[in-house]
Amino acid sequence: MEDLKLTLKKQIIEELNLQNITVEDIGDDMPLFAEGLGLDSIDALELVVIMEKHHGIKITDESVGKEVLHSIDTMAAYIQAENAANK
Amino acid sequence: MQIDSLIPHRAPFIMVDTLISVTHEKIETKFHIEATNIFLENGVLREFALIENIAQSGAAGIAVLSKSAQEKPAEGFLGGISKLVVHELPKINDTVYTVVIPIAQMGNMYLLKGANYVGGRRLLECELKLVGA
Repeated sequence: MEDLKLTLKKQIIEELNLQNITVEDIGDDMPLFAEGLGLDSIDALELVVIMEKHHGIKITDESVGKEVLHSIDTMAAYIQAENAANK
Repeated sequence: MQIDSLIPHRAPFIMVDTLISVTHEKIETKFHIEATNIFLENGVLREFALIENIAQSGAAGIAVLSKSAQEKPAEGFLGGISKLVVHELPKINDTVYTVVIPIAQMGNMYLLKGANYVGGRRLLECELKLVGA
């Protein structure tokens, strides 16, 4: 789980081209949007791409996205749950 | 299908003539550059018109795919442009062929990858974020 969270942080920094941000700056439970990491709602599309391209999980529903893409913790938990359900 | 039934833009700001084909994987359009185009400069179409061409192509395709084509097309906005590369600019009387690939969608937000061509030569490529109002 910790490896997955670290991977997600690296993928977010790379896909969103976040300059001057390191994996240490992103807390596991830190909100990724607004007052947390500071992403805006349209940045959610890049998170959708990360989930699909790197983890094989498609998110198109906005209400699901809002919940799943809230933080590294919620993203990692969703990936694990989806992987377990598909085994 | 009339392009103005798919996108809210009106002349002289329409930068797409014909929707050639639309699938969930690829949207293709055509656009002939008339001498009256307001984005010409010294006979050459400016970069932002090519970006607009990709955005309008994507919006028209999405309208067809989401079956939202109606009397009054849905409005939206361009939320971001990235990975922009300009190779060449087209001239008066060129016909621009445009390909847009939907990369991701969540709710009314779309991430699109697009490029336009003249005679097989690539003009401009970029990724766009479109948001429906």
